[in-house]
Amino acid sequence: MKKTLLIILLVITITGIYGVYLFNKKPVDTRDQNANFEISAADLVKEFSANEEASSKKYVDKILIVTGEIKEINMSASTLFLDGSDPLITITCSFYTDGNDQLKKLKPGDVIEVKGKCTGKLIDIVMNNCILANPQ
Amino acid sequence: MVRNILFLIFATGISNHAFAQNRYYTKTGTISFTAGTSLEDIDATNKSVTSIFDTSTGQIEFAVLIKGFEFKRGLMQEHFNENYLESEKFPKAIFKGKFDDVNKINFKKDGVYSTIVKGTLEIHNLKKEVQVQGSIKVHGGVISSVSLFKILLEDYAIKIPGAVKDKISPTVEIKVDCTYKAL
Repeated sequence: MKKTLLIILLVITITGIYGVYLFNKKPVDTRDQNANFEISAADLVKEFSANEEASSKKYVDKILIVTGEIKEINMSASTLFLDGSDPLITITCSFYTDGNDQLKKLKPGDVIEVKGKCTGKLIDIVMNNCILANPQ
Repeated sequence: MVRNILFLIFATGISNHAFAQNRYYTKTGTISFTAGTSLEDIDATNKSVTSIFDTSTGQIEFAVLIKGFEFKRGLMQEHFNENYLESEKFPKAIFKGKFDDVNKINFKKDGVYSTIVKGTLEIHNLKKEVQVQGSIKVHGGVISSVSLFKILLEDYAIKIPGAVKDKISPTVEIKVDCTYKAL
């Protein structure tokens, strides 16, 4: 009888702890994830321009490593924009707010690899939770 | 495709020459919302809002990707996307509207201007006419806007399951904060 009670208590405790863990779990951190795709900024733009719906299905919520030339850096927004070889569309890369140290070392014209989670396309193709794939 | 884009740039070039600096944009606007109750905090922020406005026509637009809202808790972010906003089906929220009286704002003179914007807000595939109060700040050549408004979840068919009725507010407070550059 005592053993059964103990086992039941143990199961309840473990379930409870797991529940609290799930409840407090932070969203996926790109720093801990492997990339699903590696692609150039220009190719990413081409794919989305050719078929936005299919490209969204393929890339949204996935971790991408995008290679491209920096067109612009917005330090106050912790965001940089990669040239997509398109006059209107660039890749918006929104970095983790503690990533400003990485951003400070960069300048327009640098060719870099950005790892981030694709959230879709507005004008730009947008990536969140970005970091440098290969910090210098 | 290339011809269309070239035409767009050419047309933009012409109007920019005739009416210098009348269009402003941002791709790093912020929208944050609070939907919690005393039982639970529910807040999220999106830092990649796109917005464009035209000082000559008074038209203003905002577009935001639902998947870009960041929560502190992963499970909340998942539920927000999968159950409430169904972002796989409806990936964006869009506002298209107009300043009530754009001529009252002097975009070239430093100052803070109270304004009202009226237009159509589309969330979860449902459109509603809204009127939002806000302010435009002009300072050192930089134009920024701040607005605070509320929406009713039921207006956009965002359903709150009975089990969490005490934790999610039927009215959501939204704050929009954008800093614009000349297009």
